[in-house]
Amino acid sequence: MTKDSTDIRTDWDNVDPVAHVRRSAATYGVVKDMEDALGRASNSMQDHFTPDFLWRGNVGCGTKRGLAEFRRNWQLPIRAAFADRTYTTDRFLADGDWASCYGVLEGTHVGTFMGIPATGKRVQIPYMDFWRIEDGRIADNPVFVDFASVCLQLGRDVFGGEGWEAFDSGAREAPKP
Amino acid sequence: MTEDSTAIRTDWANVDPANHVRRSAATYAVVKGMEDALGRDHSDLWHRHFAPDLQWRGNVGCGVKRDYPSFIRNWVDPMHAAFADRTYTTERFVADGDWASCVGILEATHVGAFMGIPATGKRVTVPYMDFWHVVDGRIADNPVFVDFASVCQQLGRDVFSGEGWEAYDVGARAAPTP
Repeated sequence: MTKDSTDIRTDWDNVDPVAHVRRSAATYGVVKDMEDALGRASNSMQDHFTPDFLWRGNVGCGTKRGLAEFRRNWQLPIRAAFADRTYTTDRFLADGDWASCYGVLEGTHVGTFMGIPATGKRVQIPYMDFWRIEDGRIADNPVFVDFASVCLQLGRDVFGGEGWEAFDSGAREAPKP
Repeated sequence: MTEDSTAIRTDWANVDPANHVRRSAATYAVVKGMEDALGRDHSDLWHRHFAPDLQWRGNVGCGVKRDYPSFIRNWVDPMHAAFADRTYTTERFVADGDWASCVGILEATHVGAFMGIPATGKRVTVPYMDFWHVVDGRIADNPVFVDFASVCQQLGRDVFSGEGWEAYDVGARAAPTP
């Protein structure tokens, strides 16, 4: 569709409102069905992702090329480290063939995470997701998951005291250009 | 507006299409105006694009800025101190009513100490994701993730000390199973 062929839609005047809302609603439906399946810990994710979809994470999370890698190198290690998972979406956006959200996964730390043995602690895992829908399935999935936050909740500061929260609290003076 | 009063719009059937597209376009214009101002470094004009009580809510390592002056002092200034010759590239922009979001990359030169790493002069990429809530023509809420772990890695420091899950992707370590 030409309407979504550019990364940034600048020609809002040429958008057909009815078609746009219909496509955004369809995109919402695809992501919602996927999240419902994820919540049930479904093993039939091929209904929701194209076989060669790209899960592109931030550093610490990695990049999963296709469903098999996504399952083996993301879904299963997450389930191994965190049990009793609940997902809360704080905000969901849909815009044509793309959707995005930010939310929090809450889970109990039952398996080794980043070398930290199970603590039994309840932790919050903040995330942001973007999805592109192609023929009713997710084809592209840029994502950020805040593993540094999880480490902090488990007692490890991966930034060694250099995090910019120190500027916010006044513990350190923010540098000026 | 009732349309945006819930976190997740489930009642798409009740959305007025013309109104929805008009508002999304207006939201796009506000964010675009802010990004143009940021790109031009006209810091004296930036306040036009943000609410005074802006909430800039970053991931761990970045912090949380509880108003516009804190955003300038504790985010913009230290970014400019650490990174020069900045160019922003938006990979994808999403607009939905009063909210917008984007995936993007800042490319810049490491000219000041960053996370304790002295200036290297290296060109680095800083991946980010932004969400913006526009209220009365200004950005009032700005949840954001900036990949400082990636920047550290590009500067030679692995903040996850070899435990990053990239090791599963390359086969260096076997991924645990439940």
